[in-house]
Amino acid sequence: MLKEPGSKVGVGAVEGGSVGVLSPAEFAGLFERASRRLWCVAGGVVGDASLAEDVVQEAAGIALGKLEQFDPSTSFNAWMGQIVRFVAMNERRRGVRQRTTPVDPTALAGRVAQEGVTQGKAARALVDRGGRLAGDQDAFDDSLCAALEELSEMARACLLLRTIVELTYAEISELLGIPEGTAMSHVHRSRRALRALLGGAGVAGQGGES
Amino acid sequence: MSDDITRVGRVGRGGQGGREASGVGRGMGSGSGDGEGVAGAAEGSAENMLDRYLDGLMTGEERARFEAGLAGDAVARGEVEAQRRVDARLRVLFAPPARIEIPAGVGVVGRIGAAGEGGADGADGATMAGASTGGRAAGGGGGRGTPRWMGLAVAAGLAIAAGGGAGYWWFVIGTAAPYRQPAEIYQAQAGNGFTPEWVCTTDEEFVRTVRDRFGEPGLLPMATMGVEVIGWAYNTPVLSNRTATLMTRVDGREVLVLIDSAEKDVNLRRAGEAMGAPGLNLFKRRLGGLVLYEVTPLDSARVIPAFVRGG
Repeated sequence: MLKEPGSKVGVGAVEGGSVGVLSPAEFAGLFERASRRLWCVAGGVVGDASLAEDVVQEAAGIALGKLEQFDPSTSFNAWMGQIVRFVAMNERRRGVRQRTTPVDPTALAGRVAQEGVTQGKAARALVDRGGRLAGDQDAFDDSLCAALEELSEMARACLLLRTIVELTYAEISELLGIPEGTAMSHVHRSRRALRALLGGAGVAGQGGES
Repeated sequence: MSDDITRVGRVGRGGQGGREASGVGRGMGSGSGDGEGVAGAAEGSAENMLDRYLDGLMTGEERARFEAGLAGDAVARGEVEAQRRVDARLRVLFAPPARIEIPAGVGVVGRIGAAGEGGADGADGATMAGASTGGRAAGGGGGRGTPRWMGLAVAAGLAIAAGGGAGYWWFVIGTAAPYRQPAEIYQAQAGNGFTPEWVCTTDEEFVRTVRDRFGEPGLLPMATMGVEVIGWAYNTPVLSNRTATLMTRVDGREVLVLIDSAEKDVNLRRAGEAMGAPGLNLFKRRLGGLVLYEVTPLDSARVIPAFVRGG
């Protein structure tokens, strides 16, 4: 009988659990239910979807080693959320120091061409030659990722939690340890900022007609 | 269009004011111009109303009033559409994986291959070191686990790690585990002489093939230097039943790329560590809504960095 992610795990309330200490089995169940939102926290703080899973996994490893420190009468989400945030912040700092190669597809294509991986032309040019390739969507995604980098770590996390997993502000508040109003403010400001930053990327599609 | 959005965005960054040139601003409280405008339809600032509307925080009555105003406010409509496009792409680019493994060997498992090992952009590398081949990672063999099963798996994994200390053990958590391991697919294709089931003859066909299968376009340009595209194999369920395998040859060595929707990703880099395949390396890259894994005998990813998104 595992509780929902947002709920508190009562002492002795979890099937097969020892009083006061979460068992690995109980942890596994709670982790599974919370994993999507934890992934969003990691993705938001790190700002890179491809690293988010590693962060959550590392956090899970840390948490499993500290189960005795978790008070089952408190929120599992808040506890795990804090661990994920810390690991993600470390990862981001590490990434800033270590990431010396571009991950942006545009830069990537340039690097591929520069290193002679493609023949004569850059991959980008080959795509253009093929028609319907490297179109607006490609450029828009790149711009969107760049715009996200302009947001604060906490703002990105709030935005992803609201947009991707559709958490309430109360749930975001619990997960990130911030007031509900702050979470809402982060989301609203982030949305405005993204629309502004993406103004030149055709963000409105066909919706901006007068 | 972009001018309008830029203006609105300045407000967004600054927090207040500056909306006088926008349609929303024109409509605020006046009920004139090209329609009443969204702000004229309800209380509060136009900006806050738009935020609340986009956030789904309005009551039914507020929402109806706002939408009535929206009909006559092209700028506000543009903002709504812009936000919807942003949200839609965020959901693709930041789609959480279907399941996340958790490490069972607490304190044993470190971060392997993180941050650029292997040299491919955005493609972390990790050597598939281990003893066994074939089959799935220990403890993950069931496929569709329940929380109870997963808990047992974790407990078992802890015991294995503590008792044997042999390598790294990971367990897949979620609704579905990898069906087959990357090295298993590689060996199967090698045994089959790397014979493709399907060959794309043009870049356009390649893009179409990927888009039709995964809903997201992707392209390995045919003219990529040093990469010979052999063709596709489809009966290669790794991340899901729809995982497709692109067979290539790089510097005379066979290299596979496993492709699937990013939402099906289970971070095989980790799972692969327990699977065991001496001499094979695994690299990963996310490309929009796709996830690409390169299974290669080479020391660096050569194929997935050349992939680009298509329109």
